[in-house]
Amino acid sequence: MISNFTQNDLIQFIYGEADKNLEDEIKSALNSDVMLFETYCQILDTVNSLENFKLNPDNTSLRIIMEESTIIQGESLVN
Amino acid sequence: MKEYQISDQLLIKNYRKGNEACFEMLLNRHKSRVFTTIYLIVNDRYIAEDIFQEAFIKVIKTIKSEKYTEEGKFLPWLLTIARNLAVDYFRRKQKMPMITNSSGEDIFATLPVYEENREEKLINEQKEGIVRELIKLLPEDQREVLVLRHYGELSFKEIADMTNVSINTALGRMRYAIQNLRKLITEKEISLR
Repeated sequence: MISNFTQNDLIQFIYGEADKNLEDEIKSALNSDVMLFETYCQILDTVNSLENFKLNPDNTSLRIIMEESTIIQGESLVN
Repeated sequence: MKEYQISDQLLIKNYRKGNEACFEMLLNRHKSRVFTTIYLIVNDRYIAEDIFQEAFIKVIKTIKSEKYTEEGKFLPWLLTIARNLAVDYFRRKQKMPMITNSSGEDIFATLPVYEENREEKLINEQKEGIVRELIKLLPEDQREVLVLRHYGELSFKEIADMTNVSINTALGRMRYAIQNLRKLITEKEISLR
């Protein structure tokens, strides 16, 4: 079976943004459409390779921001 | 035990009343997402630190001056500020004339800065470093959508609104970004597993 889903549909599906109908249709089609399944695996593989690494700012930046927050509050009290 | 998370909205409300701890919670809650997003746009740790500070200071000023109106949408608003500052920097940088050495290389890119080289070396030893390098190679519009969706965790609709394009355009850019990444991984025979 060849389905009519676009790569955009699959991307929305992978990121959990497809609406319920689209999600159900894609899930069902993935069981029967070999080409679609292959495309889905390729996209998913690339997305997974991005990994969910997170970088953190330096503590100095956090300190500066918190100090600034206090200063700005001080200014507003004076005014 | 189910952990109860205070909403951003409630933290802002109490911060406005003078509770600094509430702002600190907001800062700690969103720092990684915001910093990662900025870093992946500007590709420079020190510039990213500056823009990160600037973005949050802008947030403080807006909230304390009672101009904040994005009730319930704090993160998209915060990421819009950060993204705009990062993109502004990136575009300014592109306009700057590059000072080259006799071999035609950017002298600032080849200066032997000890800390940076050491950091770069450590980064490049990890998979994360490879992924970051690959993301840097993407065209600006594709990189932006990928970074905001994958690391900023904004929806495609929020990204479309932020960048003034249709949701289909945002999705199309993501599609090309994924295709290009795949191509780069294949071409360079990189194993990220």
